[in-house]
Amino acid sequence: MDISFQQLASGVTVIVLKGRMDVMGAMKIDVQFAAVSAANRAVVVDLEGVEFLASMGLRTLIMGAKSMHTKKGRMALWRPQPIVEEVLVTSGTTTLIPLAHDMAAAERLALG
Amino acid sequence: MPQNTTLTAAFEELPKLSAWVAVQAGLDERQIFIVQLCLEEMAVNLVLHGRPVGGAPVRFTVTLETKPLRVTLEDDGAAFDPREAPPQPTSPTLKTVTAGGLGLKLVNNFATHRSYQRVAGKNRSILSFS
Repeated sequence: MDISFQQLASGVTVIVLKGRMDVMGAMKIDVQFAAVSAANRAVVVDLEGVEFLASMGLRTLIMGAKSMHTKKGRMALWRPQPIVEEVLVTSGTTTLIPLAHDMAAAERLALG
Repeated sequence: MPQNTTLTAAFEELPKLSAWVAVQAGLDERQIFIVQLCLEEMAVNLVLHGRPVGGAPVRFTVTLETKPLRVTLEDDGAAFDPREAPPQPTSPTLKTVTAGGLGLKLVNNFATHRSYQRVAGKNRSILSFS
């Protein structure tokens, strides 16, 4: 599991995730994901490169969004693979963190 | 013919379980994902809750059949019927959401049928997939 970051001109921080977000993958990125989420007001999580997602990965996303929420920040999820989107929807995660398929919409959701 | 593998319930063992599922014959890409997902959730639960206080590490065996698609997970951990786990509250908000409960919710959503038995001091869960 890999994590990297990009800063957009709009002020949005993009967290780019790649690999398997299973229990070991989530443990590998958890600290960095939490730190970057907590330090920013508008975050888009790029999920295009995530090939597997289980509950420990959902926990990473939800706890990051929760920490942002307490500081009036917003997180949005961007362009997951269809089966990963199914996990996000059936788990109820998309009722907590909005999802968009195009960058402009994700950016709007994160900026509020 | 059913295939099986036996592992110790530990987080670092779980990638081996996913790798084992990925090489089983007769599964398409979606089936591999769903079986890996459900097995990971059941195994994580076993790692977190299966070991009796002061007991030895829990061992578990997974048996996979493809026609129809069915997985059996048998472990020697503490007695636990996953069907009796408290349901995740509906429509939490970011303010109220807690970290737990999502794994078994995913299993309930992706498996079409699940059964549980306590047999000869072991937990046996069977998950079926349409």
